[in-house]
Amino acid sequence: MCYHWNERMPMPEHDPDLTRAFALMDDPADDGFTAAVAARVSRKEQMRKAARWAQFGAFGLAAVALAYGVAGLIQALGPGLMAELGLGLAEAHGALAGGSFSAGLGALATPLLLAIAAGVGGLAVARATAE
Amino acid sequence: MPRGLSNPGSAPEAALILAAQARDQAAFAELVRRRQGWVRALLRRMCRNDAEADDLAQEAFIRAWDRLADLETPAAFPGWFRRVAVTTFLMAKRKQKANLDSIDDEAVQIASEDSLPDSIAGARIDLQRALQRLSDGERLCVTLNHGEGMSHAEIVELTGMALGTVKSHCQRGTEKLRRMLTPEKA
Repeated sequence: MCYHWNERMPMPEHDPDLTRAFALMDDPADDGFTAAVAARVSRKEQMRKAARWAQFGAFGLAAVALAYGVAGLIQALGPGLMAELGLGLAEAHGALAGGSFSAGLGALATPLLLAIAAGVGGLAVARATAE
Repeated sequence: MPRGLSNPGSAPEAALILAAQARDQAAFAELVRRRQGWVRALLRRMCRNDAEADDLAQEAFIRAWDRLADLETPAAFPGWFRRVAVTTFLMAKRKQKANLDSIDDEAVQIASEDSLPDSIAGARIDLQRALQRLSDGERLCVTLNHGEGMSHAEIVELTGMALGTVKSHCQRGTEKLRRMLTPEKA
């Protein structure tokens, strides 16, 4: 490109001759560049998929471990809790049948408190899991 | 799973960008094929060697693939991708401990025609070769200014350099290029 410049000319922010010179420059040929980028993207996506499956597997294992622990807890504490609940209900039923409403409420207090504690505990676990 | 484009080769760029945002690898490959010339040319003008520029161009495309979801409209792609490419270049330079603001231009061989080899001094030289004789900061600013048509303010916004530094790099780089590209009068 033939380039002429007069040194007395003021320096503009954009030089038209240089802008034209840049525009005339050739862009490089592909020469396998696109294939190389596509291969890197493909590898990256495969790794991302593998990581997602690994994460899924880890969550599955954690869920199984949690279920196993909860089942063990229920096996250990369940019969005692059920017995306590049955006893409380039987006492309440007896008190109400005997005409004493306040004694019936007192007998129901234990099973009610147990149910509320279980509900609150369950909600706390669910919230912690969601977070 | 989103359905890919049936024929990416003939699809408009906006459709390719939307498909690539939906993780369509074939659409992204077509986008790379169409834009690789421009971005590699831009980076070759900013780097001292072509191999480094091509590595950075690959890196810029990979970053673009990772962050395409951030692009709000397909029409904004050229400016957005230029930003990705320039940021990739600047990060590489920072890794190389190059401080674009404090480059000692005196150390760079170019200041006067006296410093040019005999085969070049006094003759018209290729713009690419002339660019390689500028300092990193001058080359970056001149390329963005004259090659990409960006104003000084836009270069400041893109590179994070001070306005005075950008103006000075543009002015000195432009003067040096003019001198190198102007045929010597008999």
